[in-house]
Amino acid sequence: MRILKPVLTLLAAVALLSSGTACTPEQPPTPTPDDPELPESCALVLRVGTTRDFKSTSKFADYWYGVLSNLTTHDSLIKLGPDMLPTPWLARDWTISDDSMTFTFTIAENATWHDGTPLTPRDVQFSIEYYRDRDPQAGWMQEIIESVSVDGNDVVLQLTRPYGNLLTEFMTYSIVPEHIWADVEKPLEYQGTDRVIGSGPFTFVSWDAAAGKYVFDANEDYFQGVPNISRVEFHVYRTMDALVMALSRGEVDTWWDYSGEFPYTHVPPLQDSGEIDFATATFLGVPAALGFNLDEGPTVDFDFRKAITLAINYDQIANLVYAGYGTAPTYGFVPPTHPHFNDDVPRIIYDKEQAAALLDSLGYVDSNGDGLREGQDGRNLRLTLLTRGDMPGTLRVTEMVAADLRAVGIDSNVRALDSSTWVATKDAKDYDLVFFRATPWGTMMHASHGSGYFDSRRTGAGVLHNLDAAEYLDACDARLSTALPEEQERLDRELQQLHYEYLPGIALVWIESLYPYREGWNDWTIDHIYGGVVNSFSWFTVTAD
Amino acid sequence: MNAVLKVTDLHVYFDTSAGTVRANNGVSLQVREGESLGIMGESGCGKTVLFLSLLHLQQPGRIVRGSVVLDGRDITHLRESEMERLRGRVIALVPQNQATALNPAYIIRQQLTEALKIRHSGGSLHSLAGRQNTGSQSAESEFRRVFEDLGFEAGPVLDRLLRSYPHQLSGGMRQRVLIAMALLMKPRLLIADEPTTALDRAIKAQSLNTLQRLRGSLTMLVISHDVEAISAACDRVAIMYGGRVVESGACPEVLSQPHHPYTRLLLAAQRRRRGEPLQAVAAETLNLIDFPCGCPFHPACPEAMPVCAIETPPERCTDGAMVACHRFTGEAR
Amino acid sequence: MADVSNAAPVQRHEHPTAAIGSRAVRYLAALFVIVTLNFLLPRMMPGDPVMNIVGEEAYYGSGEVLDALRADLGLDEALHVQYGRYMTGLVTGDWGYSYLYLQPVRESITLHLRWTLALVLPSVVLAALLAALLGSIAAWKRSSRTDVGLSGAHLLIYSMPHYWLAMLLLFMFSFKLGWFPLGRATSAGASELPYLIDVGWHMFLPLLVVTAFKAAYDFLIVRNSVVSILGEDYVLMAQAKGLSGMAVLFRHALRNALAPLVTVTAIQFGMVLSGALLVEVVFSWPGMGTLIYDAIGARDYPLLQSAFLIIAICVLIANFIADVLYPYLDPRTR
Repeated sequence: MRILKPVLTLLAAVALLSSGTACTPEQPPTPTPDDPELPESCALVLRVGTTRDFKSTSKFADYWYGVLSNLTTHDSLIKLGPDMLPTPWLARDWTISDDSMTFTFTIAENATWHDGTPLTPRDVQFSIEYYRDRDPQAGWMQEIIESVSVDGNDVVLQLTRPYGNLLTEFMTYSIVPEHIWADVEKPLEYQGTDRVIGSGPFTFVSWDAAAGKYVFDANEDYFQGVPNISRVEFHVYRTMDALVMALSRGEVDTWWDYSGEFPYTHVPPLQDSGEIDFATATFLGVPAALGFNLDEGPTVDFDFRKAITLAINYDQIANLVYAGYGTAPTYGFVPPTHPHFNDDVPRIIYDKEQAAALLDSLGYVDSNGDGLREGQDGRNLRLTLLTRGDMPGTLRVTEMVAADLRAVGIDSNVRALDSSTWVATKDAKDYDLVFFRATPWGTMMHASHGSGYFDSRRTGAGVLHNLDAAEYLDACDARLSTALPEEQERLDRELQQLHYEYLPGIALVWIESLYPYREGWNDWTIDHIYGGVVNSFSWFTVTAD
Repeated sequence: MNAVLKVTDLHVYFDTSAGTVRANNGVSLQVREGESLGIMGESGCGKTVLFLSLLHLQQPGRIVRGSVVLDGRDITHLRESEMERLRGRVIALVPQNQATALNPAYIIRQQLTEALKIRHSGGSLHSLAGRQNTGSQSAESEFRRVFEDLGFEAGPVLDRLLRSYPHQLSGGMRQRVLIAMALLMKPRLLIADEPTTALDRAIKAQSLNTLQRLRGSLTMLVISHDVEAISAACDRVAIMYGGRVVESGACPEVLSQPHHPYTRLLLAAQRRRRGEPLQAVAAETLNLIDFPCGCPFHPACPEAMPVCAIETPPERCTDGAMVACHRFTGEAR
Repeated sequence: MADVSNAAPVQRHEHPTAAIGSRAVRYLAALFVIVTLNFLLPRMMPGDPVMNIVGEEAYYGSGEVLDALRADLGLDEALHVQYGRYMTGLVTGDWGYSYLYLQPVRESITLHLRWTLALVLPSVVLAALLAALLGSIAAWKRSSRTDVGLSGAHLLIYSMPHYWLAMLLLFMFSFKLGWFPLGRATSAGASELPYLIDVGWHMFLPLLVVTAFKAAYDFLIVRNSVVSILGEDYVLMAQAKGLSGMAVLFRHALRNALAPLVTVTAIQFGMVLSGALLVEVVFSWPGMGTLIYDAIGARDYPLLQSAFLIIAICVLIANFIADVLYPYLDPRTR
């Protein structure tokens, strides 16, 4: 007993001390730790749940906050409209020279920063130069942009070569105030509280890491008018289960994600609750895609690739993994939501007999009767299927494809790896088939229509860069170097056709995305890129009962 | 003289998966005020169960018949809470194995103080937590007194002893601590379980010396298989076999002129190998589940008669002595 | 036993502080090995951290951008140079810069560590107390309905996945009944006492889960220790002395079960931490769990190293405390 007492006291003290330190409110990196009172009259608050991994209020350092800030506090020159066409935003107009090398943006006159300073064309010039020089992710600008100059209300970009995708690219780069960033050498490390200042429809109010909550208030001086919502809060949950519970209990009104699918398993209970409605839209990306190794192995042969595509049961994937919200794709890779979609490219057919016949004709026959085909060397045909172990949907699809391949006599070795290892293995071309996904933005990058994933000259964590056919590369270059809409349309259609002719990879499914929101909210605008109902356009259309 | 303890026809049974073990099968004995009674017998004779039953610590064994009367009060079926008041304070135990009977986690002073607190205010968690009950001054003097009684001079050696953990002490010291602990409680009856086993010869002598000092000043029940210990410490002796007392009487008489054939064999075995652990006298260990009819000793008895296998011998008493044997006719020693 | 000497207690062989000193040296050696492994392991994992920084859709062109970034982070240097810098940095308190969180690693860690410790330390203490109480009672009433019930319940909890129990409680008490929040550590906006109450309210369920798991294991240890201790002579002696059942149980039996309990707590500390990290994710708790999870995904070496290091240090400290306490809990080992 004599010993026990001090020991217990010590333990209790340690416990108290530790909880004491944890319970000291953290100094938030925000100017205002407490949310100011909302004016009673117009207090329409939208609470948005998300499972994304937010860490800070640095749009440069925190990828996800960067995306969020483009919706709330910051503006880009143009945005991708609900019709998938470039829509004026901070640039109220623009012109492109016939050689696609000079872009002139006319900047809105009445935009201001949240601190009251007017937003000038000089800020736009500064921002473009700043991204070019300081942001490692904007490395492409160094090659493309020759100069940026200001001419009255216009900002003029002179390019080093024709670049057709500039408008699309600029949709993701928001304009930042020169008077805050001019002296910041390393934007990634800048900790100043004024880093949250933008010109967007909402002003930053607070971020509480322990509470996992961002608060933004409507910008009363916004140059395009005051948003319909007076306050928007983003609540961060670590798991989708918790988020769905929050949605169902009414702790949040809707769900936001950038290029993620709302899991279909959670849909029926929410539908049954009668309090949740769903907006639907065809997903712009490809949630499950299959790429081929075009450098070595049996997949080098076009007919072999074709046989594989015939052996896969697409409807089954659409029904089992995507709960019936999926459809079988065409060979062109991108879904029909894309502008300039080429509907001449045929749908992929599931035809086991034809796949078997094709494999037979290639000399892959099962001569020893073990149910597996052998190659020329007499050994069983065994493909390495590289997939993402950290993405359950992708893994499930991979297993279904492996079963389909087994049905036509092809053995497979599924390698499910986490993202980093997947990238390294993919870059080493250490696979026969690789499973991946294309984000909405990803399908639009490079020469558009998914070319960013296949062009062998491109590099990047998520892309395959496996196709080096001259015809394809030329088409990409042509598409990249024209900003003329008719040319772009022709080339987009051609790229889709080339995906069919060269088969570097295929979409395994196209899906309808569901965006849940609580009943009582109406008039959302759906934004294909920014994922659903929570987007820059909805701020000005949404209403509540 | 008053009987401090009177045990009558005590039956203690254990229910096991193999059957009911009749550990005590009709024990009767009494201990008078100031008297020291020795209980002698081989392992398995029921002497351990007997003294545990006196303290109600024989669980899971159950007392099925007979009575235990302490100072005229029948304690056979006392409730646990009432037994707690008797244990230590009225019946104290000096356990057999000094090496393991002290709690290794407490120093000697703590364990002795606990005994004092029990004497003053009982053994509940609540009363032990109290500090005021025993002034440390008076506790120290009590410790000194008790150890002086045991022939242990107060001084730095005693202080060091009190500060020590059990494992830091010699076997002899632990034995004395255990005796001191019992004496601190000022019990009516002291039970000493095998006071000389688990001790080497030198310390055994010391221990016998201690028991002799206590003899006469305390009412004692000394459980032992050791003739030497019994004769040194006891006024009377009871020999147990098969869960019964087979012979009892004044110590010198029984030890010098045993009447029961079992007692004779037991003593002969002792004389042959002094100091060695007692060997089984009976040819085979008595099966306490499948109890034989008649005298339990008859299968091993060299003097068995036909009647021994049929009838249980009665306890024949002659002036303070008792023998339970068909051969015994009652003539004086 | 053969010690004939009258009274001399056996002298200790080693002074306790000297013993603690030699232990400290051993722990420092262990720390050194951990630190080195910590440096090497993440670098042996496949995958390039730089690619994670630029992101899935980024265009890394000819690789100059990546090289520049790599140089900026010191990842282009030879391994031994990186190691040297890493070691000096550790000693001087410069733990590097997290390229995932883009802040000094020490800041990320202290921010998250205190939330994890706020969860784990009270859990360990509560669990030990609970287990000591219930484990003793179950042992005392061995084979009774109480014992079977308690043991069964604890075995059940122990064999459940942490994650699952956490989800279950979240579903029952936060979602269905609405008694507790759906996760996170606070609601924004409060300060001082309301803030503490708010944190306590948020902490209740995660604390319950971590405590339940730790207690379940502790319970089994305590129960089995006490059961065997109850067969010891000194327990019979304590009863014969006139101690009440509860006094025998808690003063004599449980006291001797503390040493195994503390040992197990120290050994299990790493397990409890890692279990807590999973629970954190379910409750969106802003602790080390999410930090490590993200850091692994992004191959954020400096952050990973320091996070593992901190956890290893926590485990070492727990073991050191147990080592130092042990002689007091079991004096026979002095």
